[in-house]
Amino acid sequence: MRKRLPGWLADAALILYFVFSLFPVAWMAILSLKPANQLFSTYFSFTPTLDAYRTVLGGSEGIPFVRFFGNSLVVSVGAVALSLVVGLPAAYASARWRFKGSEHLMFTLLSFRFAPELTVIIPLFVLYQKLGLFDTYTGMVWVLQLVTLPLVVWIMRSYFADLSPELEQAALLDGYSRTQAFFKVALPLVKPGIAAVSLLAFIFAWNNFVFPLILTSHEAQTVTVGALSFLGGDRPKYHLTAAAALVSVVPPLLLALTIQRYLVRGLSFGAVKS
Amino acid sequence: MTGLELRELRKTYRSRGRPAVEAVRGLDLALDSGELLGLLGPSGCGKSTTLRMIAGLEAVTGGDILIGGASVTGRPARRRNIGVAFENYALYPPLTVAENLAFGLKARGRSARGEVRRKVAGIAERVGLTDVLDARPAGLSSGQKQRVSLARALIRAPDVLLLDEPLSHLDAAQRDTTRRELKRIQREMGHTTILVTHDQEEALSLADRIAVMRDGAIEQLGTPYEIYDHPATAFVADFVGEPAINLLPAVADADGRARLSAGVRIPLPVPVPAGRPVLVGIRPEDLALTGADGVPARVVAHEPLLESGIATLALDGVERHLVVLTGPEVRLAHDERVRVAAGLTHVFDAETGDSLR
Ligand SMILES: Nc1ncnc2c1ncn2[C@@H]1O[C@H](COP(=O)(O)OP(=O)(O)O)[C@@H](O)[C@H]1O
Ligand SMILES: [Mg+2]
Repeated sequence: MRKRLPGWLADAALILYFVFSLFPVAWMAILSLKPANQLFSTYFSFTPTLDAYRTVLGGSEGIPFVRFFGNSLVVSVGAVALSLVVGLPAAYASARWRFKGSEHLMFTLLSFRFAPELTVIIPLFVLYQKLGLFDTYTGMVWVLQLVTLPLVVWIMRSYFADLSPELEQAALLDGYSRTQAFFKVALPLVKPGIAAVSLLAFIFAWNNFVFPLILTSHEAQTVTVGALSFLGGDRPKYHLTAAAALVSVVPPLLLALTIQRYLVRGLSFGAVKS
Repeated sequence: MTGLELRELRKTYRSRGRPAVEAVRGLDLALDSGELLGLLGPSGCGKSTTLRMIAGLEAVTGGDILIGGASVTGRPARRRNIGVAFENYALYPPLTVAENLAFGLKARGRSARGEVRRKVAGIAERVGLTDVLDARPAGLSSGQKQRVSLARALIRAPDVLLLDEPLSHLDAAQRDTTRRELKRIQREMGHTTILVTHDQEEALSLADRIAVMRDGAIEQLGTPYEIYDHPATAFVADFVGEPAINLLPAVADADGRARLSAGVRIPLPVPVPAGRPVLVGIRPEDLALTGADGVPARVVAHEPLLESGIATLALDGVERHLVVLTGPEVRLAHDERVRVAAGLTHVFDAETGDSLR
């Protein structure tokens, strides 16, 4: 028999873990509130100031952080939207029918997730230069499909597979077409899954570093790369990087909080069947 | 209304790396307009596959399906006008009962709103769902879900109605009432209907005719009486009837009796060449315990029911026990005699299982 920890011990362990995992964030928050001349002091008494945030958001260092932020939004939302448009029908088809090569196709798609991005980045760079996709929104949205599309297809596939095909068959008998059965019957039932997978894909797209690092320069650069620009120059400005990083976690965080309800249900896909 | 005909209907499932499954092998069947046919057979014998082919949800491997004399084999499901009540009800969870019923009517936008409402109310009345029209499927009992599923199939006024194990998920009490409802509704509306079931009682009580299926083929087709009184094979005899028929291996004697063991002989209903191995079939209700004449037997177990009982008897030198329908009280281990009602025995070929009667 497994003994359960006494309640207070479990609480203590949780608090300890909470402190441990929040420490880097807290450290960054402290860093971002420090004035430039006290950056390297290790004691905790300093005059807190919002100067770093003002600098970052005001673009006074010559670094257009707000634009990077906007780029991230455009590129991530675009990538997720495209993945949904392409991936939902693909997921549905692969859940409902076995066709020639379907398993190979699905595996290839999945392999994008575990193949390191660095292995394809050089050829991609060359291609993008030649095609004029370098440093464009289109280029970023497209390359991010490597990140978001496998997520959408694989997670949504298991949602569709869990739906009884009889629901759609009943609709077919009623006189609906296959397409109508997909849109009117199957799709509305996987809404929690769509919410969960959109958020997940958004976070992955938002966090991606290698693709914007190599495939963008200024126009389409995203926050993950942009935040590091503050480290360049004669003296690394750690407080500005910290402020930029903290600002850039706001959208995924807000999104996660708003659709938390869906998320819990959505991410336990396959594990618990109702 | 229209008849339904199946000609040489076949289905073979082929998937790579696995042997082909012949789920349905050459089914011939003709239903008169308004007839309720029970498709009865053990699980896995191809009943659902047959139904799905008729509905157009599964492509046929061979054969032809005709509705009202016209072949529909090449038509997609949505142009066959067939209503199906699925085994798992297939109700749409986010919609209310009324919306579920209306959903089917809106497919081609062919009905005006007022007409939809009128039809929904009409069918709900007929099936007894008026009180729950605003409920969602999750809040219904399984009996109610089954009736919604039936109403959903009926609301489009289909030419043919297909019911896949409609009562299998209901508890005993609901099953009885739903079964009676089903019969009433089918009679009133007069649809040509196939009812798929593995429950012989359901088939016997509901169907005009029964097709007993085994391994993808029809073993016997007939009225419930024919199936019950004149089973064509030992399989049918065994599958229909509760408690199950006694099937005892025996050898035909020269004097027109079957020898079950050195001391036990039972008269055969038809002459069988002497020395031929047979299976003697006797229904438990055709046997009676008597103190006086018949075959000597020993009662080894007795299961009392309310107004009757089921006794298990051992016959001298016979390996298989004999099950007998009795009164509620029987003395155990008492020396009894068991009498076989004259002419009610069945006899089957021991090899093929075909009836010799
Ligand atoms: N999609 C399928 N692929 C392969 N084999 C199938 C498929 N559907 C049914 N079968 C097989 O066909 C046979 C008949 O199945 P089914 O018609 O569902 O039987 P029943 O409804 O009488 O229980 C079974 O052996 C089953 O395993
Ligand atoms: Mg079945």
